[in-house]
Amino acid sequence: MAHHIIKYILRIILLAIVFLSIPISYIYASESLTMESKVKAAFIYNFAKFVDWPLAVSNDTQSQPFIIGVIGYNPLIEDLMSIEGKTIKGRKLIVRQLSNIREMNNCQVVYISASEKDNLTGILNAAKSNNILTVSDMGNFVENGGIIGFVKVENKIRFDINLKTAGESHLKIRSDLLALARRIIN
Amino acid sequence: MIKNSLIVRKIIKYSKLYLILKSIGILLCILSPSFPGTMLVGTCNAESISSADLTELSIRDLMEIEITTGSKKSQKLANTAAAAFVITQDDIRRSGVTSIAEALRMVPGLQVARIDANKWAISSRGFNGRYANKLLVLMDGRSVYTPLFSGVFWDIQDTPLEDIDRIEVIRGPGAALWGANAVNGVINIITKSAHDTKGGLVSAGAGKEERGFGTFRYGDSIDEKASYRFFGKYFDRNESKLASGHNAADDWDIYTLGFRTDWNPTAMDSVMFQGNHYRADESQFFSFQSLTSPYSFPVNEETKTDGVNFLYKWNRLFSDKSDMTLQLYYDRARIHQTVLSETRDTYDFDFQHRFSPWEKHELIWGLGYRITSDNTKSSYMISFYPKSRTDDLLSTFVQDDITIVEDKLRLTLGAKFEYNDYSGFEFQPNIRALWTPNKQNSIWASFSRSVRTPSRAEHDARLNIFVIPPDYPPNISGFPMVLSNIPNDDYKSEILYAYEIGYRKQISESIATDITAFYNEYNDLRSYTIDYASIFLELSPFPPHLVVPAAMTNDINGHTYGIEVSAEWNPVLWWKIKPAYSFLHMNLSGSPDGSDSGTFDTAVPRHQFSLRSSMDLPMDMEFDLWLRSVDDLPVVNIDGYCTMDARLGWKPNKNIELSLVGQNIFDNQHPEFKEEVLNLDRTEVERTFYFKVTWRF
Repeated sequence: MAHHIIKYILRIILLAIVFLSIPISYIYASESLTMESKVKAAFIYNFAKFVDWPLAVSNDTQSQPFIIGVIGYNPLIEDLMSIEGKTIKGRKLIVRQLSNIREMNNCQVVYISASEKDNLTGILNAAKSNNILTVSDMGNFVENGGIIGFVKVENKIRFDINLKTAGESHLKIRSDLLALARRIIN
Repeated sequence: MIKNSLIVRKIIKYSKLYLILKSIGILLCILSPSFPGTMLVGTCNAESISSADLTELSIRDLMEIEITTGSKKSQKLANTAAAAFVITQDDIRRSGVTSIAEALRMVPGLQVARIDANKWAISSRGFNGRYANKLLVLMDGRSVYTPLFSGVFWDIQDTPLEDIDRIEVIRGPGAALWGANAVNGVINIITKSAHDTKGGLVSAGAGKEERGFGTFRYGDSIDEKASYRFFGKYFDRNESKLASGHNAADDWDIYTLGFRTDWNPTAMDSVMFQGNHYRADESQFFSFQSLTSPYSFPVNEETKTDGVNFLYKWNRLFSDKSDMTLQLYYDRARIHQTVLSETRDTYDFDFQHRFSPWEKHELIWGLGYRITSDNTKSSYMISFYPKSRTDDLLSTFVQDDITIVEDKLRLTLGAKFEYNDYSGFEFQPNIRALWTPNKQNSIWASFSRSVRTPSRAEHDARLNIFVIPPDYPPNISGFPMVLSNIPNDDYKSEILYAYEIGYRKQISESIATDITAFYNEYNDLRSYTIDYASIFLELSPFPPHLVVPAAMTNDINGHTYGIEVSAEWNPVLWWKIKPAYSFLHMNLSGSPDGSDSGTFDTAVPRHQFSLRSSMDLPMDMEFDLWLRSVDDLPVVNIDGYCTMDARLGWKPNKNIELSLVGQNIFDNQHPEFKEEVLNLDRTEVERTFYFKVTWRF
């Protein structure tokens, strides 16, 4: 007898849970942002502080916003957008999702999603001629001519720097940042 | 642009408060003479911080943030169709516990009681005792459940607590994957990879009950693909008190030495090899029985245990849906005491393969083979027939994880087939369903059949439990009279049918809850039947004596049911509150012929409550409180108790951590359990405190 009562109670609990959960679930539909992309966004923001763009470019555009562009789909954009409005070198930060290479023109920093690996050469050539700091977490990014590449080492984020490309893009990377890089390609 | 502005605003509000507190901390640190260079990240809980806060950190600090687990693991947990609970490294560190056994008090649905300074009774969902036999415990995949008496000797399950990555606890049957004896739960203690323990660590401390403890660990990488660590740990614990206030003579000390190497020869392969050695000296006080005067006399002896084990594991990844694991281990454990000595060697082979043969199906199958062989040295009180024995255990399992609706509904069908030398063939199937209507809610239900196979003691042991002197009531004969447990070749497996349901909900960004209800139906549970009608005269050993035979039989049936609730609430970024509650009801009944209904099995609390609070204070200080309340154990005459642990931690710089811990601070002493076989004196757990320094380099 007791068995039946308990089974009955368990059944009621199960039903109650099912019915209670449905309405509540609609209220909270926010997507949780992962820690990794939060940290990477903070890294990108910090990198900008340690890079000097050519004088001509920066003087002309002092009143213009500082633009970080993202090429290809990447959840990182949401984290970058949450820091929009902060200032970098006295300029207001704006984040843009870019849909083609031409939109890179006004950007100071471009983050390249791993999904754009096949278009990398074109993107990097355009970046070089526009004095853009390129950042990505795709494999072999710096070896292929990117400037700063994220690498994950034992659950922590490290980065490599390609000084040669930085020079060709007329970007000056301060020694404080170079000192923290895992690897520097000359 | 931002979907849920309310939540975002709330987070920003809290992060601002956090930053203000942090700035006060920074200011005080700058003012103090020993201002360390980098100290920002320290105690901050990276997981709950928004990107806006992170931009306030320097690159050097960003490089120190660990980015893996937290979210990934909770993700995994929310996707399990079982009552799972994870104790993290941070939980262990902040609780101030000094052993794995004590850490398990955090888990709802587990019963943890200290028998004396060096013994614990730990069980899941009832049937607690020192030889609690329905809980399987693994350390990095190595079973530490002893087949001699069944159960786990918790004293020797030791490793530096700093090297534990997490302890995964699954309440309820895990037999379809883990095999027989994972009847009421599985505990998996997982240590960190050697890749994650580079550098040195020295920790040492002492206190009232902890006469002294120390851990040393050093790890490094051999090249980019391989790392190692080696460690040593020692502690010496004081004796506990008897109810009278006298010392209980149960002090102990143990040292553990070990190493672990992890090697990733290719991106798809990982190889792990580890080894451990331990040696412990433990005092105990019990009544030894003999056939000559004085028939029963107290013995205070040193129990000596030691062991060595090696484990090798190779994992090969074929794709994100397919991998294969091969595991081999060898384990030698020795225990030497007056009543019984045992040496046991275990060789184990395990193979597992996961792949996706058809779309929406993920299949895991595995093979296991174990040889375990023992050699016992008897005393008058406990003897085994045969004296030494080698058993084989052959098992295979298959489990199909079927996605019925992508990201919404999953069905898991699994079964384990096992052949053992005591009960022969065993079949343990289960079926589980998990419904995740969205990221905030998940509901699961399961039905399983699982068995607890006979232990060597139930099958082969003669126990002379106590001796009644001649002419001493109720013994009216002129011979000594002995109550003896006679080996029972017909002892069968115990069988469980378990019904479970569970619900997990992320109520808001800062509150998560988990609730489980179960109903367990047991058949053929262990009973002790005393056969007064068959008293006989035994001539050997001398002098002649009367034997009242008793046997372990399978005459108890019954059911249990219960509810387990746990929650986590972060009211503000620097404060975490974790309540847990368990309710358990056991109803066991013997057969009509009057066999004992196994009183000790029901020595479990009906209600248990635990509340942990962890605060990150300014100046890199931490303050933790842990309130525990446990109901009465009527069958062993132990009253319920309510007690509290407190910890104050401080990281004066990145490498040093100081902590002061008080345990059981509400009362001078209280009893928690009574040992069920050897009739040891009942001892009590005392209020205690200790101080600890940890230095990382």
